[in-house]
Amino acid sequence: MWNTLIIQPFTNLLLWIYSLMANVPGAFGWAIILFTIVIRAVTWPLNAQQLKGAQAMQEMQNDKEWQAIQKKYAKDKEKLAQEQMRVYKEKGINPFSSCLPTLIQFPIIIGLYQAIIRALASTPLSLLQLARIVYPTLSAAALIPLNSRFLWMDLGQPESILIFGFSFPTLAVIVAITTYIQSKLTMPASSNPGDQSAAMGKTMSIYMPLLLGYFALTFASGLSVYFITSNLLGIFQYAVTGRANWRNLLPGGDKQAKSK
Amino acid sequence: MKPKFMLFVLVAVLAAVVLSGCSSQAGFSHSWPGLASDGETAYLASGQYLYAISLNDGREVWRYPAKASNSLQFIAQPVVAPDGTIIIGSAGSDHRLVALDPSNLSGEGVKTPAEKWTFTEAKSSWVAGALILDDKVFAPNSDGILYVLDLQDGFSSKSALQKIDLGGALWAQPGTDGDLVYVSSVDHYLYAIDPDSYEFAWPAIDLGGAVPGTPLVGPDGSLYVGSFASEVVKVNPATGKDTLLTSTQGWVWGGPVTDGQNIYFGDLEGNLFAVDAASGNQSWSIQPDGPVAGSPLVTNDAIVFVTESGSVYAVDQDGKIVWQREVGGQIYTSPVSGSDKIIVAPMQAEFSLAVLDTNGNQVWTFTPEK
Repeated sequence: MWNTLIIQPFTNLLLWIYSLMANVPGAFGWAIILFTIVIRAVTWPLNAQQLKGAQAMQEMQNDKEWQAIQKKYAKDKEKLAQEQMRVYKEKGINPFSSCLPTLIQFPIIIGLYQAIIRALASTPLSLLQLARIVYPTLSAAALIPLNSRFLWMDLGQPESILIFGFSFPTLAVIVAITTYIQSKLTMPASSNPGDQSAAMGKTMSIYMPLLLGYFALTFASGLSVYFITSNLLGIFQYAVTGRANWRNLLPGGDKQAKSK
Repeated sequence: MKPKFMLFVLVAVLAAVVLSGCSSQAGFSHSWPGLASDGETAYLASGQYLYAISLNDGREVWRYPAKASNSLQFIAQPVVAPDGTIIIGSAGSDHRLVALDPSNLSGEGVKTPAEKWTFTEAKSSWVAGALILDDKVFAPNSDGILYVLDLQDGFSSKSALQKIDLGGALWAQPGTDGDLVYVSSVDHYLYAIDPDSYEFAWPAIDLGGAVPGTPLVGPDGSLYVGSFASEVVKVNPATGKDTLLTSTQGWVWGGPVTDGQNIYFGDLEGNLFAVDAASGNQSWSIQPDGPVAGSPLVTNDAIVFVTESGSVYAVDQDGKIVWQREVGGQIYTSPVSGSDKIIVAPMQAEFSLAVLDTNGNQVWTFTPEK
């Protein structure tokens, strides 16, 4: 099921894009970048919904009526939860709309990683397995083996650059930085000191870069290319839709916003 | 918000576990085992060990290394040198090629041969066995380099006499007619190299698909090479000119073999072909119970081949099935023979090695002790 619905289509999509640019240097890297653009385009409405949902939740946190309810039922968690659901309903907020796109990212990450490893086929058995999942419309015999080189990287291996004798994980650092920037840009200002979502957003903006940075450090660098492209596209999406909170990137930017 | 955060953490941990699982599978070179025989002993390169197994009784004679190491993985075909030295390369993160002296065993209980020499200059996995020609070792590596080593220089840590950079991953043992060394590559090319000057005898031939099998020097002196282009070509070794011998239904993985009259090879669509070397006409083809990835084995009585479905077949020169034995698992490794026995190495079976007599009866099996 997982193979048929995720791995096989992902692998074939990568191979198909690769076949279109097989003569371009670093074709597999470009195929991953184009693949990410396709995925981002497909999930654009979901991401837009996430942004909208996060914005609505934030506005609710700053809402005087909701703050009053929070104070009133501070000691009655059950009642507070009931009131919260009522306010959600009144304001037309779907509490899951903001986390759904994030959850969708995980199967994509796992599927892409497996597709990259399958497509690069580093052993006879993996090449045999690849042969079995390539759609007949693709001329697999001519495509295989794929060139795994992209810029200075081997996309099937974790990346690092030797600097003064030390192995420096450039991509892992770029992944962590771009993830941090993206999560900071999407953090709306909150004037409510008891705002749990703002607190969680702040925590996530620290943990997510570390988590993805760890993935980039440990796994094939093709995955890092996906992370970086996806993050840059995310930042672009926030910017063009006017939802990017650039002030958050400045030192103390979020405090400035709160004090307004 | 708490459940949402917990859900995120759970999914993140799950993703890390799944990715780690993929990584470990990709990181160590998981593939089918390598197999060889010197007539008395079978050599099985499987997972973290190279095993030497007595063909008389299926007893483990020795294993290398003494203790498993995560950095050493063995999938390449072991090679037996004329002096009995065993040469094997690792497909793990430690890319060493090692020569073992089976006459110098040590250890209590489990025996281990002494290392005669090691070669550690390769940058990638050893998937194929080396070719020994006179006093030289021609060792193909996945880094695309054919390393030439001096077998007799006496050094315990060898340096390459020559590094011939061919570009694509080299997964097949080179072939030779004594004058030239023929190297096939996963990047579709066939090369002919002078073993003394290391110069190319003719420009590399693009075969239109990966060539993971050893080129065969046929009874007429021509080269026969199968590829993922679903064809077997005949190459004139003097000029490098190639002509189509026959098209197949599927990719040709294992190198062709000959009995002096016919050329035999299988394909991944599940066919075994016999082509008359003299006329170039197809003598016959049969459809066994699954894809044929390994090279067939020519014995005195029959042509023996294995299938992905776990069967061993013996056919006569006319393509008539003499016997079939279901061994189990999946068999991709080419069968070998020794002491009038046929040795096969299945994957994902109850055992790692099965030995059959010439009538297809199972004599014994071998499962490594932990």
